[in-house]
Amino acid sequence: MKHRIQLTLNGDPKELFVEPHILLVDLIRRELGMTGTKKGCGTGDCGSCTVILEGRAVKSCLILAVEVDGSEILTIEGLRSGGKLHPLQEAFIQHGAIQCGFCSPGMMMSAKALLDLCPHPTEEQVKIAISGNLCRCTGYSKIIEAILAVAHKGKPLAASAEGSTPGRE
Amino acid sequence: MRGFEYLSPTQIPEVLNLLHTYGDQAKILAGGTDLLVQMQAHEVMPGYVIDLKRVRELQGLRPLPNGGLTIYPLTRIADLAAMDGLHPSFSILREAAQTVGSVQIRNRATIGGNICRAAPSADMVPALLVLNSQIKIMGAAQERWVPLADFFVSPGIAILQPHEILAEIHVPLPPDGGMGTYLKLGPRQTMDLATVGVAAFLRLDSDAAICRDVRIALASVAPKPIRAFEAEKILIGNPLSQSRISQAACQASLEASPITDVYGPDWYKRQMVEILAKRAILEAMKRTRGNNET
Amino acid sequence: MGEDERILGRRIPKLDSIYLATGEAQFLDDIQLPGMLYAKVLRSPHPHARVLRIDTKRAAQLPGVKAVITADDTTKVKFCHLPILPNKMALADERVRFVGEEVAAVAAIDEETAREALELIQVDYEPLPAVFDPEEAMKPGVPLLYEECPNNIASHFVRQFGDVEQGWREADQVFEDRFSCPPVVACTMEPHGCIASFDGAGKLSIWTTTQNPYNIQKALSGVLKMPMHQIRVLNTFVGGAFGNKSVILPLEPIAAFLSQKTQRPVKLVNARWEEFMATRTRYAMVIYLKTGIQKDGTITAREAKVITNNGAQNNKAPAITLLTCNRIGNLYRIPNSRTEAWVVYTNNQYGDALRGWGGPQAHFAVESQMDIMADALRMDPLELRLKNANQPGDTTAWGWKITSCGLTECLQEAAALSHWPSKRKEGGRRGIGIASVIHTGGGSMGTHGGGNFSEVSLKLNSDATVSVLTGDSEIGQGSDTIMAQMVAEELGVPLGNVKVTCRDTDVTPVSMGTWGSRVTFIGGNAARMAAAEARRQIFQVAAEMLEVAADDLVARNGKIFIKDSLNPVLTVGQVAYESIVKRGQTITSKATYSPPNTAPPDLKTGYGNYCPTYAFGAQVAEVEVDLETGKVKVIQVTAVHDVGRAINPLLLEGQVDGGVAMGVGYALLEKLEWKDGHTLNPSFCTYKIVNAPEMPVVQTRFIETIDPHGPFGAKGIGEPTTIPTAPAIANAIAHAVGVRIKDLPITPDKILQALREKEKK
Repeated sequence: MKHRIQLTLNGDPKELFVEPHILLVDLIRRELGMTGTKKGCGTGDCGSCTVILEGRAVKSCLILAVEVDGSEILTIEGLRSGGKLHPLQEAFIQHGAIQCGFCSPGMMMSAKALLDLCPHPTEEQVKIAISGNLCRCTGYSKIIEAILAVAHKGKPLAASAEGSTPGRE
Repeated sequence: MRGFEYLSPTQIPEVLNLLHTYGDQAKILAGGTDLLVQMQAHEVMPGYVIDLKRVRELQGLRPLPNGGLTIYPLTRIADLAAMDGLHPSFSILREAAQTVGSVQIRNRATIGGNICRAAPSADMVPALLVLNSQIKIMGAAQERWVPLADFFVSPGIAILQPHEILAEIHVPLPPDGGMGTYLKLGPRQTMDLATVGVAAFLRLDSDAAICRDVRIALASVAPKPIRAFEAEKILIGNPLSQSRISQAACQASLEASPITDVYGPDWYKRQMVEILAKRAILEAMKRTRGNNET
Repeated sequence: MGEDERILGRRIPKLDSIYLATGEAQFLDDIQLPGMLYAKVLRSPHPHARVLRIDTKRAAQLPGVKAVITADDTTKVKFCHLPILPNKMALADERVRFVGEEVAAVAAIDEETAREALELIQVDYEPLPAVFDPEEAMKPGVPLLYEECPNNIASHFVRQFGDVEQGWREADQVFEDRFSCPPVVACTMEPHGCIASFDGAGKLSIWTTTQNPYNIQKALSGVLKMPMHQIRVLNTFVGGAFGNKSVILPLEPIAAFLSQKTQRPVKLVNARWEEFMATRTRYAMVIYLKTGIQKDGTITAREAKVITNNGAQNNKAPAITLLTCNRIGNLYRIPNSRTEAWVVYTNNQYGDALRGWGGPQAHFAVESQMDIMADALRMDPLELRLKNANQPGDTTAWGWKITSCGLTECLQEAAALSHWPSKRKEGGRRGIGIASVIHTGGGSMGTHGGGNFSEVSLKLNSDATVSVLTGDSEIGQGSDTIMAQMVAEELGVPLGNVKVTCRDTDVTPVSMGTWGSRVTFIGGNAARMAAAEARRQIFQVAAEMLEVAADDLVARNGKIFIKDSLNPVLTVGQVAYESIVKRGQTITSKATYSPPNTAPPDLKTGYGNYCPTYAFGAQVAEVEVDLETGKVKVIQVTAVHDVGRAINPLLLEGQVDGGVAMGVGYALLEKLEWKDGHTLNPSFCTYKIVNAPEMPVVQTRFIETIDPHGPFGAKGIGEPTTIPTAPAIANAIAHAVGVRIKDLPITPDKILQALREKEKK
């Protein structure tokens, strides 16, 4: 039996009719065509499916679509606004925090959720916030740099793009 | 994962009615961080999924007149992890909540789910056990209060019947203060189920010299979370010397019955019970003394 | 030239980052085609069994199921990447040899229906006795995986150079140790997958998460018995590969057979548990290492016996094991060496390339033993390494011709940056350890089942923007960006003018692909040559326009100058317009680079120089060990790598960070737990990889040795960054607590056990 659900996705109201077994991640990717959110494991371990639900970072592979009736959801596609990249997106790019990019949307969602709650986190708090987002390419260093750069607004804590030294501490 | 009906009641009687009707064909959905994994793996295939998240009476926490705490089962672990203004004796609950999974998991997982999953590794349970928590179980016909310690039977199995729900968790305020800590050991610092988890809670006398009461609970080293009663006996009523603490910690390790699995050999886990118990007791002692002084 | 105009040596973010940052980049599972079906694979639950009967009737009748196939519905062609005994089929016929082996497959209207259909397939198996440990599997009288293969030995070889007996005689001490390395998996965040689609004329288009589209095309041509021009491989954005997505899995042929049968596109993507159980592992190895050394630290001889767990089917084990052997024989100046290797069949899932090939295994053994020897000789491990370090201009006993070599500088710099001397003296629970790395910096000829060439073609538009076509894949490492930088620099146009386009075998040149840290060097050289040719064409036209000699012209940042003058006389755009639009002379070029200083190794002896350059490096790890729990915290890794020339330090740092993360996992966390052929930990919950809080601080430096053959002096880095990490950590642990663990991963229980045993003695 299909259930009628209403939600706001990236600021847009949506009304859908869904079967109970449809996962939120599949609703977002298939029915709503937003493939920026990824499916890496389906067991809530890798974090690639992270979206922001009612202001909190959650793993959309562990949520049924029917559970989010009445909710506000933000995905990576909603980060950009007015054609301008979000500071997190800019920072991820400039700091070299993106390699294969598969984990990046989920990573940025966790980062945004953190910064919305805690605008000036410590490095330790950033690590905890992304501890549920696995990355196999970057070793996390530049991801953490990028998030801290946004948190500390333009005062980079380490060399990013256009630095001059070919190495780094 | 197909072929189930989704139900979203808003009142407890409605929930109990549905459970009475559908019995063991139904599964309760709280945070979903366990149930959805099991359903996607086809380990569990209910005909009815009953989502409790719209039942207001099952949400939140409130202090009791006698200083204790009532925690409703749908309270999110993230909210427990961020609790402030708590009586210091309850800070162990916040500490335990902070060790559960990752931020995303904590944002969905509930304390009720953590208890009802009945996993030997449940992180909230040792902290609740050392605080002598009681739980209210409700069925359509009756309700009963049981000590949390009596709730668990074996891995994944609790005394909760298919027609019942866990409706309330009551955490009494320990008399005369006291402080605790929950220590968790896993392969990594975050994200992991406990390979070994130890909670210790103790009360000292007014001179902070004699141990008035101590409770030690262990996760992941038995078919269910357990108290280390024999270890506790070594400390109660005695001064907390280094050697006595070591003795108690050793005894705690003997009360554990860990198994060898992908997380490590049994002898290692047993040894870690001793190490964590010692550290937990020392930390609880430090906090209790620190709290007594304030 | 202003800072803004400089292209090489700049910290430039990957040029495709924006698509990845916004989520619009299409990975395999993001692609939806009209009428697409979803496939699932039925896998063997037995490690070894005869397949007596498969009944697919009920599955085929399930509403929504469009096809069910078994081996009989396929060509039954056996494949293997190396030209040795191919014994892998898309679907098993008559016998299964590992848990997870593909037995049947379903295509249905959605994944759930496909999964339900699998449960309706009835397979009757007759279990057979199985073997799991390679050393056991070699013994007489054990069950055989292949009757024609006595003692389950898939491959056996010896490589010897010099005279080890003489080496033992010259040695003052001989050390013998046994090391073991576990099976680990790639854990790419994106699972392996593909979409196969036959058109009405029988041409197959296949989208796949590959790092080597040409390999896929060639392999599928063999398996499907189709000519190559009827197979079009389209490379999607790849969510991590690390060497593990370079050859076909059964996934591609299975999807193709299903698409052929249904005449609809078929998507087949691994579930995460299949990534753990049914993709291919880093080969598990046991290495018996024997080294002779003199009192002053001079190594006289090295001998190794390597036993590789091949798993149930052939893929790359002989080549990877040979690499392990040649690293053992070539890291440091080893005048005499003998390596003997056995690649042994067992009823486990089989192996493949993974970052470093057999390098991590070899280095764990060699670099651990170096410290054991240093300890016995009372020498500083750094000094022992410096004493025996490879030097530029060396020709090794194996015939390797070392050109650029910064090993000494890397060791010294790593030691200086990490405050080695003072930290070596500190005691307590903290320790510091060092390890070197030698690896290819540009692929290898004739050792990987093929040549080592890349082809790049360029097309200039009339506005001087450039499309670059290459068959080498961008897999997140930034190879497209590096290539664009080199083209822009060589051609003299701004970086923003250059775009490396798609990988599509209908269009892009044949190339050996992304592996062996080769794209910077081989692909880069091809790109540079193609750009140089395009520039020659531009200058020819410009010279005519200006009535000067072409040799008198230079180009920079899109402008053309007479040599030694500061004012531009033309823009590249003006020349391109003149040539293409006015004169009808397109500006296109193509170059193939195959390194001139390499040849395949001698078939009999294995002697030769088959890598065009060698990448060197050194890493120092600092750890803290909790003596009560045995837990190790890696505090810092100092990584110094000889990269020839740092074309893009930002991307290089990314490779170091990622490589170190994998190395920490290999050292401390990762292992597929196999019991009687079953994988006990097929999930991220039970198989742990490094997450953010586990990552140490990484301190990075690059040494530029300006390789004589590398494009602008550069050489590869993708793999060297992960190879020395585990031994550096093992050495640091030994320094901290005085126990040596020779069996990866170094878990807390192993440390406590070793401490206990040390106390007993």
